[in-house]
Amino acid sequence: MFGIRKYTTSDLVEDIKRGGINEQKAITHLIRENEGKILSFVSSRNGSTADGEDIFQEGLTALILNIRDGKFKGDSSINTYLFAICKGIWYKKFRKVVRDREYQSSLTVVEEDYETPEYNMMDTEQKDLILELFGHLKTKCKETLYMWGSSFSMTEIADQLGFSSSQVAMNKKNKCLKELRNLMESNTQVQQLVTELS
Amino acid sequence: MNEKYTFEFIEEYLAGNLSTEEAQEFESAVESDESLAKSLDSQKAAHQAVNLYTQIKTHENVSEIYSKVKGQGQAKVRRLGSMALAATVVFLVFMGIAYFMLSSQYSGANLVANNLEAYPDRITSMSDAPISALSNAMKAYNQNDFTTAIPLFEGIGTDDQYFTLSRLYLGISQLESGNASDAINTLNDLFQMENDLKEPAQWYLALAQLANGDETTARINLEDISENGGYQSSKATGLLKKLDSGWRNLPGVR
Repeated sequence: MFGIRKYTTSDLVEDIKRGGINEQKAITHLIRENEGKILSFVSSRNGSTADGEDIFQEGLTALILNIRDGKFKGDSSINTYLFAICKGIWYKKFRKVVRDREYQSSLTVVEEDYETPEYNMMDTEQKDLILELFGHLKTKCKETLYMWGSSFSMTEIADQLGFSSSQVAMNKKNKCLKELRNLMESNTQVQQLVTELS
Repeated sequence: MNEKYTFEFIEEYLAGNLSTEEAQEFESAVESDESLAKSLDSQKAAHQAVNLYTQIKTHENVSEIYSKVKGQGQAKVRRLGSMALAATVVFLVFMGIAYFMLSSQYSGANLVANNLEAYPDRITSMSDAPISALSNAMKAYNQNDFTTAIPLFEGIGTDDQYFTLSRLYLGISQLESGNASDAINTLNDLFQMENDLKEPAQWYLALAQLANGDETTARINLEDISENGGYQSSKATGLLKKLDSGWRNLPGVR
């Protein structure tokens, strides 16, 4: 009756796309299924547990963004895909210090087998800059832009945020995005950061 | 800038919702209109900022869930740790009780206490026994008031017909009152004397020696009692077995 749910890759993809509690459960499942493997991988390359945890969380983030963006549709195993992403992030992050042969070969595997995730690794300062920029927007605006950025449809945004229709949601998104654009025009630091990370 | 190309129009272009013709027309306008090109760039930058914000918030969400999952794992470990601690405490309490019981059973003092029974009253309980100075001593003895009984027994003269019996009761009273050393002297004297109380004297002497920590001498007397089948011989045999038990090798038991 209270057994642990057995997820398939397509279940996980669907639940992540649905967001909310379904997404949280899917992420929890992915953490439990894959954490050990990623930590072992990082540990076997002289990375610390903290490094492994960072890589794993960034890999999960990239996976979720790719699923929402439709770049991963569930045609192959989600665990293999996540592992490949984490490997890619590990080598990207530590490319300056990793000089073994596996670096090149593993990176090639990632690029051959999977679309390289469009994942920007930001440092704390860069993150703070973005968060400060969005801090000038009202909560509803931030939520709307976050959902829109997460590839939710206007109907889904309207449902979840309580707008009367998808058109109202669309108008809200445009209004908030316009406000954001205006804020950015007077913020050269953000402009520079966005250019760097593009 | 052509007023046709509003913010919303550019959004439709960036979303890929325009027809091919509309898109090509817009791109041509961008090439020739610097202001429009700038608007397009700033709108693309806003999109990129939203992508970065989404990435940060998604990462925060993942981290929050990750911490919860790890927290649950740690809580599980803590629960298991608490259970292990509780099990250890239960085990230690059990071992403590077992140790206490073992030490109760096998320590010299407790072996004596478990085997020491006052020798029965053979003086005042006998119907033809004379009423004498022994009466008060025996009364105290029968009431287990050995401290009171000792000086009264010590006052019994050698000419009293119950002198040897009174020496036995004196020795037992001394042993019962915790004065093993005096008991050894009294009982040893009695045991050396030719009398019909040698066997009980030897038994209580062995107990007094054991109580006094002289296990070697106590063993000799106990083995003698056990082999000869005299007074309390079965108890002496049992006591020897307990003295030979491996439990007595535990620290602090003797």
